[in-house]
Amino acid sequence: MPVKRIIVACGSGVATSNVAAEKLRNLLREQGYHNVEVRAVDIKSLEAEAKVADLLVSITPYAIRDKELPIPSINGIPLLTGVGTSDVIKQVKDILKL
Amino acid sequence: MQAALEAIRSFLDYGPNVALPVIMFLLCLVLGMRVGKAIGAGLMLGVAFTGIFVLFDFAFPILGKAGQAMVQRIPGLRFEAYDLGWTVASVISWAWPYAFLMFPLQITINIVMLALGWTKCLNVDMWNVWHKATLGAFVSALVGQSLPGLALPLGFLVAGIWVVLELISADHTREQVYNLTRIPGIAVSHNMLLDIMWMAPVLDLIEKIPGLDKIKTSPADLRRRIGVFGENYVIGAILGLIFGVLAGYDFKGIATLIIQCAAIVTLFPLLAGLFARALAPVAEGAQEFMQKRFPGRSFYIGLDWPVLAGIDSLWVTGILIAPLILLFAIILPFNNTLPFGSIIAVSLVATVTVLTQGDLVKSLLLSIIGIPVYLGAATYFAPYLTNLAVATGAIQVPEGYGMVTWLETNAAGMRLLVFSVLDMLNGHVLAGLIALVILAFCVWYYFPAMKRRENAAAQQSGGISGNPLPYPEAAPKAAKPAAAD
Repeated sequence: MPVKRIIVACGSGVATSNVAAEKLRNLLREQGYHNVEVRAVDIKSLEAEAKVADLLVSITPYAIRDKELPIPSINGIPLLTGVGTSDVIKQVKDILKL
Repeated sequence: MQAALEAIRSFLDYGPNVALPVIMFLLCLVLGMRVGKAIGAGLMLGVAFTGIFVLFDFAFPILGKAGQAMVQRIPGLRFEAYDLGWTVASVISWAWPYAFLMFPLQITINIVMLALGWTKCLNVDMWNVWHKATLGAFVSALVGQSLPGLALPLGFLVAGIWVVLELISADHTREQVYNLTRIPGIAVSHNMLLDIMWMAPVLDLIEKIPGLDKIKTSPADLRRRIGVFGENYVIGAILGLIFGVLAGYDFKGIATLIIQCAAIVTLFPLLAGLFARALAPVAEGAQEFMQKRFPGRSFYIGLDWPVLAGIDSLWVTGILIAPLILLFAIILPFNNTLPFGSIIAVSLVATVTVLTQGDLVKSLLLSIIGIPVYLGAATYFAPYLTNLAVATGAIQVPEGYGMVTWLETNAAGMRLLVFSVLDMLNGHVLAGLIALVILAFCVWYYFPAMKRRENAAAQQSGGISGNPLPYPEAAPKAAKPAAAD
């Protein structure tokens, strides 16, 4: 099975996106999903990054640009607040058919 | 005891890229992490530090040479400090020996304030703890010569005040943030928003300009047109071209500088990303610790600024003012910073975006007024950051090229005011008194202005918790009957 690629974007691709990506990585690993790659990216390069990814976990779920991308996007705010992370995992599993 | 202290001191002398991984490893163990993971986090921190070192050694002489060549060719130009972006500043801050103590400081103050009902914000943004480290280190340096015994306590005091202000600021901007993002249950607890304290009266003046509301703009459309020009490597390349021409380089020199600048601007965030990964376990541990203390209480979660990063006017403003930052840097006599790494001054434009509620025209006007403040702060804090880097060995600043700084000094205006006030301890009384008056005015103006703007934002969005009038006492008289329905 090919590796599924998830991207998490933030303003610089440095802090927030890495915090969220690390959390998602750990949650997926705990549930035994090893065939998924999670990468933190810079929101300024989102169009280019989306071409080589399967799913965007967005921390700006209100942005129209997210919806214009060729890949699906889900709300990743729970990864930052810690409230409702299981919903994020469920959506990731459903969309990527894990 | 003496021998143990001596051993610790000589160990710290190995440099932060060796000493900090060990501190990180121990910290992870304290947080209850498995030994294997703790070693991983420590090693990753060392890797990130070393990566930043290598890139800094590459980047600084390149910028320094170009800057010096510009200064020699263009009369009146005075570049002594080079803006390498916030990533470098954060790395230097973490090397301050007391930096990690800012975690317990921030957490303790937040918990006490929640328990006393002084804030409703649970700040889980553990990444921006580095700002408090910067403040602590800089304040210690400021008062260190005249009052060496008070240097460290004052450093911690100001850092603590900053934590309090961040929470108060999060409380008083949450409806404005919600109206922009429509994400329930959050606020932005980043210290950049403290600059709203001086921006609020300025924006009230700007809004008196007649016809301003009639100008129609489409930030989303503009942003689409900007396209690839908003990407780091392109911005770096453009700066390389401008610097090369201003420095009078030949064609080969300019072409080389274009690629070098594009590479530097692209690589610093990648390396700083490793830093974030290394710190993620600590951040997560601290977050869980805090959330366990307040289960089921009604608070909202304080987050870093990127929840705002989907707002088009933010990026359009940032890109449109970038050439002005460069222009101001050249013509303003008090500035000696060459803007580079943070030419897209997010901390300025994101703050402005919150206050103007994403209005592009107002954002542009307010940002332009902010540029001299940010350049002034970058220039003012350059010796502090450079001395901290040299003292901690965080980064080897080569002699003769000048200083390292960052243009995105968050809450630049508030920092300048606070430091001017503290400088009274060194005998600079007059400037300090003026700063104190301005500061007092800003604080006095802030609360009623925020209540008015929070009400206005809540009326547009319907309010975070369905209440379109969070501050009834600040509502205009005519709105009162409507609120009673």
